Amino acid sequence: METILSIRNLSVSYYTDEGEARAIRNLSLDVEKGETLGIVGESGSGKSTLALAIMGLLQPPARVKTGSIYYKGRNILSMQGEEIRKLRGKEIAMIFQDPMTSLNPVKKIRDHFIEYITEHMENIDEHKALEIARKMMKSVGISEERLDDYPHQFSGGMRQRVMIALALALNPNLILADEPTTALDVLVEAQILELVKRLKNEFSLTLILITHNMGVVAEMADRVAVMYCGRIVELSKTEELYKNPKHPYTKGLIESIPLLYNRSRKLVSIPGHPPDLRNIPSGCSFHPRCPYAFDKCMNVEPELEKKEDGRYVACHLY
Amino acid sequence: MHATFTDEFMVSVEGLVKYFPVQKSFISQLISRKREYVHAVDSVSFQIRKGKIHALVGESGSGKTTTGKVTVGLIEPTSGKVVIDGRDIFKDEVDRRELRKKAQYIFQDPNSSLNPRMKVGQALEEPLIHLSDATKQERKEIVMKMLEDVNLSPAASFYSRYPHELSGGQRQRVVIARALIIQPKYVVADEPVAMVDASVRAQIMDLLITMQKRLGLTILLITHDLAVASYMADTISVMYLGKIVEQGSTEQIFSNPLHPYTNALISSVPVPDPKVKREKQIPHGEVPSAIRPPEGCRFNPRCPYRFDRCTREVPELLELEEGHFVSCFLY
Amino acid sequence: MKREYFSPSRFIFYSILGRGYGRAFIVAGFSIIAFLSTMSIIAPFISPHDPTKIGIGPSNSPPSPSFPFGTDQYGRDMLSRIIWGGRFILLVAFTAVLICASIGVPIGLLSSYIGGNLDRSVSLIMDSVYSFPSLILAVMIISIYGTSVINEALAIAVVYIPSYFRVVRSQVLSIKELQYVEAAKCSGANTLSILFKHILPSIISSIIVVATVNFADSILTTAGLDFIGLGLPVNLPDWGIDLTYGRFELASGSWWVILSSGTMILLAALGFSLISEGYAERQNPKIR
Repeated sequence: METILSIRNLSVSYYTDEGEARAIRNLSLDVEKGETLGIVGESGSGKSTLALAIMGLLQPPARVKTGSIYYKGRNILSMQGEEIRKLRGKEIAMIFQDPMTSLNPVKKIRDHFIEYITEHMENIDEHKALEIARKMMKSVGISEERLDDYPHQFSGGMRQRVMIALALALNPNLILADEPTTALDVLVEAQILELVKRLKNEFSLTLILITHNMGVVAEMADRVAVMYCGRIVELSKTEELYKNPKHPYTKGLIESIPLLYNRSRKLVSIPGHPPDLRNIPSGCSFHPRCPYAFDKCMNVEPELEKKEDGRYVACHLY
Repeated sequence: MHATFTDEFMVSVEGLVKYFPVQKSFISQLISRKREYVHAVDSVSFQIRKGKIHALVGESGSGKTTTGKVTVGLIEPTSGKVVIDGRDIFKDEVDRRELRKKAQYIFQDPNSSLNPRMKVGQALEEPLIHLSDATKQERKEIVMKMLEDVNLSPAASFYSRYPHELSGGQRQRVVIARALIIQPKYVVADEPVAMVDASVRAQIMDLLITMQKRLGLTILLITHDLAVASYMADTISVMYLGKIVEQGSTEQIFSNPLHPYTNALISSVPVPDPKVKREKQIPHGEVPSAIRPPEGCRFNPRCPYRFDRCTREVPELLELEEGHFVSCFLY
Repeated sequence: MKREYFSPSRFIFYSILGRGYGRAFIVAGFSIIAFLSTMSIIAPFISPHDPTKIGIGPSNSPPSPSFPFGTDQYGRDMLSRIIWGGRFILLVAFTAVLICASIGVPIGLLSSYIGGNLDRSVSLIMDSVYSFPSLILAVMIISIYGTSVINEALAIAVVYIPSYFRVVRSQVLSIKELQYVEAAKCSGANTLSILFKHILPSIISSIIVVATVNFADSILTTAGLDFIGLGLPVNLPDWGIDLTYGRFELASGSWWVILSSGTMILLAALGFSLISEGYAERQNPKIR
C-alpha cells in the first residue's frame, strides 16, 4: 500500500477572545492510496478543522501550532500561494456540506466549470474546458443542457451532483468530502452515496469521508477513524470497528443509535455532553463521560497505539 | 380509521388541508391575477390515543411540520378539523389560552428556539406568566422542579444561565422543559433530536419517553429519521408531498411496509453495521414541487411499480389489516 | 444566527481596545454626555464671561492664561462660548432623537410584525419621506413656523423617522421568523409582549446606533441652519455657529475657534457612539 497523505503530530487551535480552543491535538494519521477513510465525530471533534487543514484553507483565528501534512512527500502546511493553489483542485478536491454556499448564484453552471478549469490548467481554452464540463455532468447523471442553468434552478441533490462534478473536473487523486449528504433527505442521500461509490472506482480516487453519521461510514468506508475532542481515539477496519468497538466512546456511539432492523435493542446513551474545547478535561478527554474510567485516565492522556490485534486505540483499558 | 369511541383519542385530525399562497412580487401580481398555492398538506387524517406517541415520518416538503403546527393552533388550516381532548380547536368558542395550556410544541432547533437574551429561568417562566395564575414565588419553585426533572441540576445554577452557556443537549432539555412546564396533555415534538450531537441523542429520546410516561402525555413526533420513529413511536404515519401514504403501528410499518415509498425510505437508511448488506431500492429523482404536485398518486413519477391508473386517479387510504392503512393501487 | 453589520466605530474601538469593554464603553459614553449636558445646563454659573459680549479681549487672540480657549474675531471669550454653546444644539438634537425614535420605532415594529398590505403602504410612505432632502424640509418648516427648539427638532425628526423605521423593519422581518418568537406565541404571549419582550431587546442596539448617527446629523443640520441664517441669531453662542464661522478665521491662522467648537461636537458624537457600542456588546454577549 502506498501512503498518499500523511499527517504528523498536527495541532490546530482557534484563538478566540474567550481563550484558545484546541480543535486538533497532536494528531497523526496515514491515508492509503485508493482507500475510503471515514472520519466520524460529533460537532467540536475537530473533523472539519482537519479537512480545512488538509486543504490548506485554515484562516485566522485558526492557527497550526505544530505538525505537518505530507501529500506525496510534500508538506502542505509549508506551501505558499501558487503552489498550494495548484495542489487544490488538481491533486486534492473538496466536497462541502452545503453546495449552495460554494456556488456563485449569479453564474451559470457552465461558467463555474470554465472558470475552475481554466484557472487551474494552463494551455486550455474555453472550448476544451466546456468539453470536460459536459463529460463530467454526464458522469454524475445530469444532462449537459443543464450547464446553462443557474445554481438555484437545481434541487439540493442535483446541486450536490454538480459540486461533485466540479470537484472531479481536474481529475484529482484525493477527495475530501465533508458531510456531503447531511443537508439532504434520506432518499437523495442514498442516491448521492451510490454515486460517490461508483465515481470512486471509475476515477480510482482516494476518499476521505467526514461525517457524524455512523450509518454512512459503515456503508462507505474501508477504515474508520473515530475522533473525539481533537484526537483520534480509535482507528480500525470498518467491520472490526462495528463488530467489536474497543474505545468506550466508539462503543457508546454505536450502542446509542436506534436500529431499524433490531428495534428491540435497548439503547445505551453516553452520559454528559462533549466538552468545551477551551477547557478540555485533563488526562483522557473522555474520562468524565466514561463508565470505565479509573485513576490513570484522569491524569495521563492515552496515546493512539497499535495493539496486539493490529488495531489502534487510545485508551488505558487496552 | 374513524374510531367509534372518541374519548380514547387525545388528538383527532380529519381531512386537514393547508395551502399557502405563493408569494409573488407586486409587478407579477399585476400581470397575472392567477394565484398559486403550495399544497403543503392535502386531506390528512390521523388519530392519537391518549398517552401514546404517534410519529409523522417524511422527507422535507412532506408537510409534516405544517401538520404539527396546525394541531396546536399555530397555523390556521385551509379546511379540515382538529379535535384536541374532545374539542374542535378551530371553532370560535375555543379560548386560545385554554388551547395553549393543553397543547404545546417542542421546536426543532434548540439554538434558535430560545431567546439568546433570556436566561433559562426566564424562558421557563414565560409560559407560567401567561398561562397560569401562579405567583412569582410559586413560578420559581415550579421552574426549579422542572429543571431537576429534565436532569438539569443543580437547578439553581442552570436557572441563571444564558442559552449560549449551555451545550446543545442541555439547550434541548430546556426547550423540552419549557413545553412541559404548564403540564400540557398533548405535545408536538418537531425533530427533537435532529440538531443534537449523536452521543446525546439517546439521552434526549429517553428523556422524552420518561416524561411522556410520567405525565401521561400524548405526543406527535415529527421526524425524518425512521430510526428515531421506530425507537419512540407507538404508531406511525408516513407522509409524502402533503399526503399520508401509509399508516399503522410501528411494528406493522417496519416489519410489513406496504407502500413503495415506505419501502424505499426504509431500505435507503444507512445502516450502522457493515455486515448488513441489503438490496437498496432507491427511487430516482427528487420530491417534486408542492405548487403543482403530480396528478394521480403523488408518488407516481418516482414509483418503480407505476401503472396507468396511478397517473390518473388519486388512491384512497384503505385499511388492509387491522389498523394498517395504505394509499396505493397495488393493494 | 449571527446578525452582524459592519460598524466603523466598532472596528476602531475594538482594534484599539479589544473586546470585553462593554461596560467601560457605556460608562465612558454616559460620562461624556452627562458632562456636556451638565455643562450646558449650569453654563450661566460657570462661564467666566458673557459669551455674546464683543471686545472682552483682543480680536483673534490665541489661547492664553486669561483666555484659555482664545478669542474669536470679535474678541469674544471662546471658553464662555463653548460652555454656553451646547445649550441649543444639544437640546435640539436630544428632542429630535426623542421624537423620531418614539415615532419610528413603534411604527416599524408594528408594521413589519403585522406585515401584509399595511406594511407595504407604510413602507411606501416612509420611502417617500426618506427621499426628501432634510435640509430643504428643515428650511421650509423653519421659514414658515420660525426658529424654536421644537420647530428645528421637528424639521430634523420628520426626515429621520424612516431611518428608524427601516432599521427596525429589516430586523423584525428576520427575527419574527425565528423559532423563539413562535415559541413565545406557544407560551401564550400576546403580540405586544412578543414585540416588546422578545423582539425589541434584540434590536435596541441597532436603534441606538441609528440614534447616534441621528444625533450627530441633527447637530450638523442645526449648524447648517445657523449657517444659512435660519437658525439662531449669529451672535448667540453655539458650537455649530462657531464651527461654521470659525472656518473663515482659520485662513487667518486662528485655529482655536474651530478646534474648540469642533472638539465639542465630536465629543458629543463620540459619547453616543461609546454608549451604542457598549450596548451592542452587552446586549449581544456572543459577538464573535
